[in-house]
Amino acid sequence: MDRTVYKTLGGICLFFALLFTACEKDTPDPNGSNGTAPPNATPGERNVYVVCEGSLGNGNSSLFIQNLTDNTTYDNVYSTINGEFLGDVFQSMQKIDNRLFLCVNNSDKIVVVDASTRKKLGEIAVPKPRYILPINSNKAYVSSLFSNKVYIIDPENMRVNGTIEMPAQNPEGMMLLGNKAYVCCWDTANNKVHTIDIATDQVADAYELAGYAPHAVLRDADNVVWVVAGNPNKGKQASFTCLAPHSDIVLKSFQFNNLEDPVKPVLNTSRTEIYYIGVAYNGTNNYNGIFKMNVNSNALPSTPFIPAQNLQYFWALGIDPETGEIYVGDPKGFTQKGSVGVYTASGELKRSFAVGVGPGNFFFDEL
Amino acid sequence: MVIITLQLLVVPTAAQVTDTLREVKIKARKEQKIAKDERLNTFSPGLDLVAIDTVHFIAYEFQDMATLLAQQVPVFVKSYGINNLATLNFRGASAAQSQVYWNGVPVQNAALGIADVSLLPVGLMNRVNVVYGSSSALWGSGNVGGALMVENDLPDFDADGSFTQSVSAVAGSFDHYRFGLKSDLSTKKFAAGINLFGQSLRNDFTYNRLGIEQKMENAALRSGVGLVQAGYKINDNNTVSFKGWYQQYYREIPPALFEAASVKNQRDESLRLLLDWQRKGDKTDYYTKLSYIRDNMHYRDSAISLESKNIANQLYGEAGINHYFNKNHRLLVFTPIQLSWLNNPQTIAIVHQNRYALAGAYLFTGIKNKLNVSVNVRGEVVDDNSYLLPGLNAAYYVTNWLKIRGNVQRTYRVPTLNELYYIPGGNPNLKPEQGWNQDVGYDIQEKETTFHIKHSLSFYNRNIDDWILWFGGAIWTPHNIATVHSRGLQTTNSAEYLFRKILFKLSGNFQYTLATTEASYLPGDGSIGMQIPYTPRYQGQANFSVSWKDFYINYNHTYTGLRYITTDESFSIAAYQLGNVQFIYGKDFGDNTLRFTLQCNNIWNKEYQVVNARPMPGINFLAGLSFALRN
Repeated sequence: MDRTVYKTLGGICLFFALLFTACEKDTPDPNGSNGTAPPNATPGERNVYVVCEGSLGNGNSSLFIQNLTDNTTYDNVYSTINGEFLGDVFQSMQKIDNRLFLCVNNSDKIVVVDASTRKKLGEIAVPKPRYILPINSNKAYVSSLFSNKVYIIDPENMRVNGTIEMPAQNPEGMMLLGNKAYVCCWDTANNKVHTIDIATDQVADAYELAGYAPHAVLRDADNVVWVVAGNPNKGKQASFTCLAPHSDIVLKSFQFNNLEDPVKPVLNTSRTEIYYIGVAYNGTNNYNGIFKMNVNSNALPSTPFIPAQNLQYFWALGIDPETGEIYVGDPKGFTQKGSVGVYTASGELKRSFAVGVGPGNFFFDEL
Repeated sequence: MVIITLQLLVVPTAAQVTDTLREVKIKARKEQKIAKDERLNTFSPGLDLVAIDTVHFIAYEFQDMATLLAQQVPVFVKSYGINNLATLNFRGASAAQSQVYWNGVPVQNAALGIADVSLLPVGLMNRVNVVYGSSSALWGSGNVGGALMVENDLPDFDADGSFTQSVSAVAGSFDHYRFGLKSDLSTKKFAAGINLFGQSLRNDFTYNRLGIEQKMENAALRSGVGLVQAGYKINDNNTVSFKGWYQQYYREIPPALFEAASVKNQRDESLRLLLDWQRKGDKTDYYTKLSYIRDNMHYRDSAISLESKNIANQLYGEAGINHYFNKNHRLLVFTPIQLSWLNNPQTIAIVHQNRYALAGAYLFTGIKNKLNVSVNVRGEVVDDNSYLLPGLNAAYYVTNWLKIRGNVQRTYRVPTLNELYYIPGGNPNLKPEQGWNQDVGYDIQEKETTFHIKHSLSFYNRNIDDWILWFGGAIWTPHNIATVHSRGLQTTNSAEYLFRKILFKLSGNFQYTLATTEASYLPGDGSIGMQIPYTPRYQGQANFSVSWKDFYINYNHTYTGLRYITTDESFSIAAYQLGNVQFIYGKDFGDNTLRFTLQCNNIWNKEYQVVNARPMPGINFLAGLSFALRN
């Protein structure tokens, strides 16, 4: 063989040796499971739990906790303490007695953890769980997407005790008022909010709304029932309907414009102001940000109280019941870790902190 | 031993595999026709391309293209599991930027803009070329990171007449069974061929679920595939041919690790028709091709009462003139037209995308045939927008064993129908992805009587603006978000040594890709400087084979580096290494051929995932027997 070829090949080997030392290294596998475990919660301690959905289909949901006394954030708490991934699409959480119930929507389960240690106590298999409405220590209702069922669970024994068949599909937001549970069925063919008699677990009433596809229900300071409805992406314009308690009397209603999509409403501590997220998924409208409306107002707000920027939309909203501060979750497209902005009641950004992928809900807890 | 080329046979034997390797060795310096398409053969001298070896065709004949590419070619195949969706990622490009062409016709789903290479059976094709880097002027929108070119050969016209039939039967792990028939007929004026197979696969492999071994459920596959070809030689200059390819795959979609169970399934039905006319002249060749492609995808998940039907149609036409002025100058002018439309119940109405282009390629050959320079340009109108895509690629033989090459190309990808119009989430305001691609490299070949060595190295660099990325939780929607910079190097190497009658071959491929977000429109974006998801920085393959008489055995080893699944590198899945073995035995009985093949994949029984939470099978086998009769 020609000597020149040998020399060339030798030079190539040397070149590669130098090149590889200059290449960017594969970092050790972070796989998102390395978090920080908080100490056991103690009486009087206040925390905000950040429910991070993860990105659909990737199984990377997570639970973040921030201690509200010293603002210490604990990453990926569930995986760190329990040594397993939480699942896919962590939708919401609820506390019943001293247990936390985590609805992991696309993993068809409710994970039960101790509210102090955050150690896993068990699981309850429920198809596509969305939200939990505590009725008492032995009973809670669980709404479930893609069916017409509300599941009755026994929180104490961590099992399903039965189901309630709703007249429409996709039970979603729920609220307890007296001896009735209001249930929103997020069905584009449905323009009613239904109630369940919590003594008999039977569907009781159906109150007509100003729009279709109800998905959230709240009670203001005067016990007026606010029902948020709509699915603009499926041609159902959004609406607010204000109902007298336990009645089909519509006190007032509001219609949103075509693509305006109010979701995840919350009330302030005094229940006089309603806050909601206006979501513009594809940036084709400007109804994008956190909106604020007095419950006595007769008009919808036209501009956001906290505007989202271009390509940004918010996905989590909560009000600290003690301070009135507004917590806003930015999922940053669900393609990376999100962030939480904490705003004063007047809408000024006070601080922010990083959380997991897809922050979608907040839960404020005080032991 | 008589050397016979693969093209003359329907079923080459292992012995012929060895011969073919020798033949390649002998002819290595000659300008071989690697494809039927002149864009690739003649007007791409500076492009970096890999032609799949004959022996690999045989070894992987009963498997899908995803498996072949993942084990043998430096490209990342993003596979959701055995026989499940698999897309290509060339040098950090997205699946929609990595195109697949069937006999020169783009075959990615017109709605999705991607091609599922797990639905491309290796045994249906006669040639496979992998082209790296952009060549948008020649191939159009979406040819950003690279392309997979598959071709079928019509049986050669044979004045003496010939008739070949072959039958194959395959059995493998997880209740994999496959039965196939092939038949070719040739006369002086007429040639026809048919290739049919059907297969079923239970796919109930054992995997580790949270520390507990269990069998995969809801993972079965059933498919039927048929390719019909016919050609008529009108006279010495004119030939018309027809190809019809129909296939139907029913695939159950197994649960991911975070799902308790799955009842999802998907039926993919594709019809691809191609009519082709070729006129060969002394100096000028003419051609036209007309193709209709219909992809029908039906996805069901009864657990959530979800049923989605998506029917995408594409009409593709192309006419071209290839003129040979003299040994220094050649010119190709052609006019691709691509009309796509989508019948989707989730869209308000049928949506269209129409592309009309005029493209030209000029080849200069000079300096004693050492220099080849191809200047390419394409003007394309897509609906109401127009694009000009210039490009230049060149190769120069420095010595008889060293060739240097380079390619510069403006590249783009127009948004797909789903990206624009899908409800919910489609974004009609999307802009095309655009940028420039450069790559340079060299090829070295040296041979002696018993020794043959090849080495090539490429450096690549690509900047794409307005990269399209899907965002979302409840509703996914695509946005132009960023500038992405991809760069890296790729090397392919092989050494053959003939010792007495035993041929040893050692080969290795390696790719290093750094594909990072450089700028973003997203507020507070944490992806700046981070690697694009599902783009391994490192990957490589190595093979060691021995061929002796009618036997061939190869050990293949692959390494796939860590892949991030988020844009800020906060989540990743581990790197993995796999070992695979291929064995071939072939024997001729007069004009007839018997062949036995055996593959063992994942021989070290490694647990691994290509896509997060989708476990892949451990060690598995596939044995095939085929018999060909020739008259």
